[in-house]
Amino acid sequence: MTPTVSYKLPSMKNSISTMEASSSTPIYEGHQRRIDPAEPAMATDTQPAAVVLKGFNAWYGDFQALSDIHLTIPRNRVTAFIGPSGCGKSTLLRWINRMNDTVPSARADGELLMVDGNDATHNILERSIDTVSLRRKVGIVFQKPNPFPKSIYDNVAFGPRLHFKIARKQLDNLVEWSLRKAAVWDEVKDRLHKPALGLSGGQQQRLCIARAIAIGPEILLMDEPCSALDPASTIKIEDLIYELCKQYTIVIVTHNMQQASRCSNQTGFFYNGQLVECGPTVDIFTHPTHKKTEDYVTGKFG
Amino acid sequence: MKSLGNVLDEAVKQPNSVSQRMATAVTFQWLCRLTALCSILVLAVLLYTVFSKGFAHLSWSFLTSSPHPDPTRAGIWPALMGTFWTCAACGFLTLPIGIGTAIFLEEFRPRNRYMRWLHALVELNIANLAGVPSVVYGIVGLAAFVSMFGLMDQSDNAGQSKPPFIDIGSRYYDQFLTLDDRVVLVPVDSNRSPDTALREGLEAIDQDGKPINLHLIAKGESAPDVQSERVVAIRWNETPGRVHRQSWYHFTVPFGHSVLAGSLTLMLVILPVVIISSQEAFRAIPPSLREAALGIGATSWQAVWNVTLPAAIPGIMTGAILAMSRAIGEAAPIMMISGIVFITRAPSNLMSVFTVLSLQIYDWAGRHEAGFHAISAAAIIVLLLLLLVFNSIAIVIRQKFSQP
Repeated sequence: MTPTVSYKLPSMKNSISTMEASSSTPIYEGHQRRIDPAEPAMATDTQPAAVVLKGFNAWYGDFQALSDIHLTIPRNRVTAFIGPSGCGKSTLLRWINRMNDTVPSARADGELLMVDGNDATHNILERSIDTVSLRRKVGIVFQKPNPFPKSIYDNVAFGPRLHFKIARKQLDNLVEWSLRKAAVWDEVKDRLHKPALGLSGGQQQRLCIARAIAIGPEILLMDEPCSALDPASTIKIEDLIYELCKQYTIVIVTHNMQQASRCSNQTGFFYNGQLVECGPTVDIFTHPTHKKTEDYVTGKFG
Repeated sequence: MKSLGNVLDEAVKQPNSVSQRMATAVTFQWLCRLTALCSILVLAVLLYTVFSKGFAHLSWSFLTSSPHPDPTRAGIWPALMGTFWTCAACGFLTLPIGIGTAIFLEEFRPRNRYMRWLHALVELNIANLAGVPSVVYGIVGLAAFVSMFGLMDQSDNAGQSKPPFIDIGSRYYDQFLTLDDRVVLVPVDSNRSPDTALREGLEAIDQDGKPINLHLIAKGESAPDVQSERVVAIRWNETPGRVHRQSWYHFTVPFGHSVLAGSLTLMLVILPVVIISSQEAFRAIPPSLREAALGIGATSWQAVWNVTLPAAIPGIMTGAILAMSRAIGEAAPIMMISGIVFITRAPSNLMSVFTVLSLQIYDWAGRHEAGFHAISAAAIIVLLLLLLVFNSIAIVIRQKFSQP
């Protein structure tokens, strides 16, 4: 789709690899830019927002995991959160669909607004919000593939059965559609009623993505979806992310800088519970404004 | 200052004897084998004594006949059935309560402060209850279930037993003898109603339940000679005996010395064990499964019912069946509840008086005649076989469900 994008890192004079990297070769090995940089990466007038955070704070007990986050997540784009371990990026992700409700000590304040199709916003953090409907709209894929110990079919059909009164035939179609969408149909179509735990890690993770999209979410949260997978499976998932972002708003947490640069429109860099910088991925990886960001994306720490 | 390398060099010069270490390892291995053998030896001795004494007495008639003053004619049928009844009822009572408590403790961790307090209290209490001797539960059951703390007192001042407070599924009759020495039954409203006033045209049934027209013989009247009339005629001054028939759903409050009281007491004994093993089963489920279910919009109940409970079933069932096999062997609490050993009929409903195998064994083993010791050994064999079956079921379930 898009030609390889070149990178020019501004302040890398001490790095041999950068000095050798000509303007036409990517700095990361195997770096294949998947996202068109010409697309507007951030929320703009033409690109509406899906989630807006204003002064968002999150705590675990007395420990403040995130402080004063201001961020806009654009619709139908991929937003990547990067940062060292424990910087709060997963916490933020888990607040967007209130998965943190399962952690007794977790609490948050500020505004975490979800924007629906009519530009109406509602605060996800409100106590009165119906988490069941919220999680139908905001799906999540976890770090470790976690299929249920059921058949492949039942895994995908689990969500639709919860949310829809649906005929058997329709459910079959929906399962097939989800599995196709998650690019795992061809591998599992002959063993739909076999246990899902018999699949490989990469297949399991794509099954989990199929399970998440089978209920028609608007936003898909991915918490390091490839960190437990081998490179080949990682590539497949990344391709999938690119395909899915045409239809869904995707937020991905990753430790893999190449991954963030390959498949996101917008990148946010978190450090010590703060959002240091957020901007178009190309900018974050080529000329970040903050020294910390630059050090992190060039691998000086983290 | 020495460098680390020198320290290591010095250490290497003073090696431990490898052969000595290996010898210790081998000795320890043998020691462990010996200890394992000890328990097997004890079991073998037990099995040998029991089988040598009791095997000869095992027969079909031993299983199907009732206790008898003559040990050669005695059997274990009522005790065996009593064991089945109490354990089945105990299982049906314990499983829902035990699993429900475990779900509350493990899956629905409350965020509310007061509920958290309750949560901690329940958890603490269950841990403590698991260590209480079963005879104590017997006393609790006697007070709580048999007499219901005497709130609905069973006996009046004269020691006469009063009718139960609530009584469902039993019919009371006044029983008369006819001139022909046959029994006729006159239905009465309840045990509380006064004695039947004898009058002409009284509705009555014979023992097969067929309605008959009673004929009263007044004081001066002479008895009829015709056989068919003698069958339905009773004397005017005849005093009835009160009898009652119970249907299968017979139920009374207080429970009395019944199967239900016994199973509730056994439930108290094994409930902590079932709850703790179910909790372990729920804890063994990776949290990621729970999150996966919640993450696609399942309610907490849907997540439990569809995902965590099915995954926990093998662990729960294994724990529950092992707990049940403990309940089968318990004699002390049942002795408190039932108290009776000489019972000649198998229970027919939850309110029947009953005895269990372990109690029967205890009774026989404590008698003087050697004949009773032998049949007590035979009953032990039956009890052991029963336990073996239960434990095998536990193993089969664990194997069957642990396959991915």
